[in-house]
Amino acid sequence: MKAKYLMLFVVLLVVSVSASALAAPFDPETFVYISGAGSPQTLDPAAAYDTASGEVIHQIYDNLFEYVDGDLDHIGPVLATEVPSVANGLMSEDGRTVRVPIRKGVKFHNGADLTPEDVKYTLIRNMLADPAGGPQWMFFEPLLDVQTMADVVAMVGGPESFVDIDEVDAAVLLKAYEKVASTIEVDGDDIVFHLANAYPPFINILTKGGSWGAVLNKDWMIANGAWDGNPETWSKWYDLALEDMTCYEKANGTGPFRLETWDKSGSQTIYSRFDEYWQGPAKIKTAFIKDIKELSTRVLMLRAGDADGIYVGQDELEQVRDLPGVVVLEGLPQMTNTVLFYSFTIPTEGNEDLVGSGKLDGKGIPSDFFADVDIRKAFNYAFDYEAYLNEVAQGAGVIPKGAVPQVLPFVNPDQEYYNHDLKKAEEHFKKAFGGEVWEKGFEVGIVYNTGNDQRKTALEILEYNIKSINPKFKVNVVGLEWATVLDKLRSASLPVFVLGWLADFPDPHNFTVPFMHSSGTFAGYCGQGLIDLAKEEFDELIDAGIKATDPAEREAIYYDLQERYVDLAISLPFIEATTHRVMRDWVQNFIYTPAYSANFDFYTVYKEEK
Amino acid sequence: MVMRKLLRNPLSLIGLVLLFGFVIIAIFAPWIAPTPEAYKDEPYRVPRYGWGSAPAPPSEEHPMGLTQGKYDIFYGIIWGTRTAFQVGLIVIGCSCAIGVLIGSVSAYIGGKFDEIVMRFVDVFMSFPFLIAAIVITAVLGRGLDKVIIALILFRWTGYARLIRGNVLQVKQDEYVMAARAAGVSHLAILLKHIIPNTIFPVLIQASMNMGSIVVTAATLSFLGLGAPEGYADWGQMISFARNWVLGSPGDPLKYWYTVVWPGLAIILFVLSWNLIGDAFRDIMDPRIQG
Amino acid sequence: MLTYITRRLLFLPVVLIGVTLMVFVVMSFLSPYQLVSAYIKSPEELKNQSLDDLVRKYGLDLPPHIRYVNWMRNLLKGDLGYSVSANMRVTEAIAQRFPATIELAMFSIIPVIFGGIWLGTISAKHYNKPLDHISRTFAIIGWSLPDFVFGLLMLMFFYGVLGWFPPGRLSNWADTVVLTGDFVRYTKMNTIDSLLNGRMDIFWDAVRHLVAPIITLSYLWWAFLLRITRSSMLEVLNKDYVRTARAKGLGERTVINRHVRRNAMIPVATVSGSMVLGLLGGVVIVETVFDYKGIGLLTATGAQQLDYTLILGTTLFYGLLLVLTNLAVDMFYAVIDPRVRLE
Repeated sequence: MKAKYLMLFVVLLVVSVSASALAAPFDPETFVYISGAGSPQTLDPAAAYDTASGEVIHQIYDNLFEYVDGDLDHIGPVLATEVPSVANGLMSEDGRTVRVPIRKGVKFHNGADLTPEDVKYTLIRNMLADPAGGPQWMFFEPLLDVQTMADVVAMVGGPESFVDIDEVDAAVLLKAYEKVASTIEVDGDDIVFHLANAYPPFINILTKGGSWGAVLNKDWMIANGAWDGNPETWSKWYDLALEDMTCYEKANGTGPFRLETWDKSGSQTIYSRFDEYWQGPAKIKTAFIKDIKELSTRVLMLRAGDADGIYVGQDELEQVRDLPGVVVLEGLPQMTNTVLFYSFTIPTEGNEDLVGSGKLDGKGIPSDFFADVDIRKAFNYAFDYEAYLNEVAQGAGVIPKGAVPQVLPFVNPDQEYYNHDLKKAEEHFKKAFGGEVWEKGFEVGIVYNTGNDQRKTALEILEYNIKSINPKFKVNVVGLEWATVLDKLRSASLPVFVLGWLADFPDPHNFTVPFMHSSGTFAGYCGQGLIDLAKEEFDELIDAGIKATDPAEREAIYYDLQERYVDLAISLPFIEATTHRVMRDWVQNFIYTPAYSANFDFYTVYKEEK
Repeated sequence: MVMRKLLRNPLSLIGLVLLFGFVIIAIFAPWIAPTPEAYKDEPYRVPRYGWGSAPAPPSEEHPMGLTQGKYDIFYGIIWGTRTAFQVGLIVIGCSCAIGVLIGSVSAYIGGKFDEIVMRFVDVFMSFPFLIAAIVITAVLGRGLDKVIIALILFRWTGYARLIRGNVLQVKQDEYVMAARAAGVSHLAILLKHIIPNTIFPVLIQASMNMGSIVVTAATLSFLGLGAPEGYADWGQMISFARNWVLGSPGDPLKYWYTVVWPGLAIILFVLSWNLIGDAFRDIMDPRIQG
Repeated sequence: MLTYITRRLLFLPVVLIGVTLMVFVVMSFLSPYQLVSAYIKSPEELKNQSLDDLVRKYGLDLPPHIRYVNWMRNLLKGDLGYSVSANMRVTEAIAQRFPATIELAMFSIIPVIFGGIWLGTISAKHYNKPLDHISRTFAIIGWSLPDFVFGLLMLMFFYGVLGWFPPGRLSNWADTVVLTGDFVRYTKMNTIDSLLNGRMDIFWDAVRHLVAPIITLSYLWWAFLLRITRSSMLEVLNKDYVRTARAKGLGERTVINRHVRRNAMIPVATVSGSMVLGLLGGVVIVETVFDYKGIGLLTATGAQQLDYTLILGTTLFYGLLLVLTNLAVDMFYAVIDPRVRLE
């Protein structure tokens, strides 16, 4: 009997619960975006350098400039009133002095007015804080021609490196502060930047899309425990752990939304409209960014209308393409490329899994295997670019023409590039190591990080083609955990690996340095061989390219670099993937901007039922 | 005697037939699903027919269709049978051996030693099993061998406890006392008298765990911690289906083959072991005679 | 009994030290640059950073024994360290996430126990008859089907087709109320908090989000309980006193209810401890599929990102939980079975 009552109760519960469920009305003032990218690392613009963090900062803060209508070539003012150029006299002829007039009448979320002093404080405070792994190099490089705050300390007579900043002499620290502070000054209603050298993409760095250019409120920051502006105390805030920084989970910006809460245990951020936004209030009143790992869950929420936009991977688009009421925008260009890197000097000891015997005896590869240009060229010719683009990426992208994606300026459209040509690959294999490779064969492990099926497939395409050239060539596709990949990158022990590079700002400089400069990110992962080669072939040109102000001169330099990169087959960029957005059809006025890390700009979009 | 009873019970008969079928499939895998010439030396690598990601329905060449990544489901199921047996047998074998050894020795010696060993067992048992497996595979890296290690590490304790309890009882029995009085060595007593008389419940338990090990391995695959991508493994075959379970709006069963075939393989495999195990226990336990 | 409890509690620190030491041993296989992956979580986040700077900043190159001593020292102060993957202190993360899992487990235990015992009784009553076979097969399929497949099917049916039970813990509007208004989160269990705050609408919303995960979890555990109930019922059914009761001419129903079920519950009670823990660990998958942010999901993501402090903190917590649950089960056992004496 009891069981029957229980059953009755359960049935009643189910009915009443489901009835209430059906009453989820269309809400034009709420916007929900579901990402699968994980939680933000920090909301502090001084430290944020990952997409998820940038996405949040984008909604809360304003930068000095923005890209107008998604056009990377058209920068418009936001918190500035004019975009500096030589033509309007705000930028000096040599490009080293940049004057930015600051807008008046802009309010922060706490009601304070924006002043030029806020802008100066923001940038100086961020540079002095310079958290490890953060984006501050983008200010150090143009303003002081160094990479880190530690470099500045060394520059003014401090130690070359230090473990604890308290060990550094107070006088040196003061000098370091002065050095940094001297780069930015307030002049009336303007901010004046003094650059170490001309740096054409400097304005881009300050433009929206770069979370590092978000403007903070000085008084609020100090009241909340940030650096107080005192030249002698800055080192107390230097390189803090992310969670100890002031804006780690709090925010006070001038942007169209205020951060209501960062619900970490629910992996979501909640935003509410800032009604006094200087450009007028947004149409969306409440917005959510949620992180849900499981694709099926995201898709179902989109289908039910509980989400307005969701993240879907390129290879999963099939799931949403034909859904009624869902719009999929495809083919959106990105400042990115995916590249197969070769390590020029591979440690052979303790690396038997990947290089086998460590000798050219058919059972492994020698340490300098990929230092031979013919090997690299043979690999480049063996890859089937068309098959990857059409079958794996389903046409979402273009085949590269060098290290710099073609969406950026100064890429030579007529540059010859590699194509799938097994004949030529065979020729180069025969030439490599004086014919020894062809005779003896080799065995090598090529690496992707597990969980990335598209990259695995890319390597399998390469494996398939190389095997078909000569049965003595053995290529093993090896999946390693991301953590292990990082570890092995550090010691440059991955003979061949796939990685992508997402630009920080739209300029070829942001690709030539990591890919080709001897001090660049990937040179470090590709062994001493590449570093030596880069010093000889690329460094001088790259340094000249960023200091040149004349576009024609820059074009010539980057064309030259592109040609050298292709001729030397430094690495193998095989796709410049385009991206896509998946949203409900009631989402209106969506504007795509390649440089923005935010998937949806809650200020521009609004909802209207069809 | 036991066998006849097993054959007479319809449920255990089904279990036996299923198991026999799986054994046949595992043995004759190279003939049922021949490895393509190009990858002759890597039979456990499931061949791909295309580089795309969307599944393709069953066709003449691929009787069960192609799953995500264009992997051949039929090939994966057939060779995955071998993987399932390998994982199951290795894990059960090793954890049983470790458990029986530690449990029986500990109980036989008794006293402080037993106490210490049992606290040690407690430590291992203080991890929820799945969480522990996740941690181990995350640290050691992806791969079937790592999954096996993780499973063994946290499985043996159950058997150790089980046999310990039994040994504690048997230890006091007359024949053990007699053997000891006759001067038989401890090792011989343990091996000849104690273990043979106590191991049976452990074996039953172990056979019943065969199935759940395959399920656990599949779960780890779902979390991205199982076999490497493309390895013939049921868990992986079914986790390929995770994104396609929903089908498309007009046709919710569009990708049924991605989940049904590997799902069926796992269910039948587990079912066969469980049916046999259940019946086995009913038969062996003299207290239950219905 | 008191001495027994004291003795067990005295062993608690020993077990916990053992647990954490083991994690440390396992983690010491990792190189500092592997641990950097907690800060650079994916290839997409690999930018112009210096790995060495990160290693230095977060002390990832410290030898494991020194880390252990440091960790222990902080533990004594009640600090489990900061978790990068959860973006908060480990103690806070556990305090936030554990109530969610408890809520889920708590509501699941009811159908699990009733359903499992009911099915087990039916099976035993109809031993080796069709009903026995059907209920066992039904349960075994539940046990054989990987839980993520079942969960996804549940999600598709109840949410995708019927539109009834959405994923997550609360709807957006309810989330806004709970997180931002003057709603007090006493227990962090939404069903209880909403009642305490007198918000029936939020209570229903929370229940609505709980139904599908509960169904998924309970189906998976029915098989387990069914099997144990069935065999212990069978055992008791053959006992002399049951035969006597039957011989006395008592109705089958009375025999089962009064004599058999009660005694058959003893072994069921013993496994309930391991079942509670199984539920707590096994929720990982259900939490993933239904986007139910509980402690299982927290641990799984943390482990995959090699988040040292989080792994240590949660394993310590699980260890504590397990020891205490086992203790509780032992005591419960002693209470319901007068033959057992704890010593």
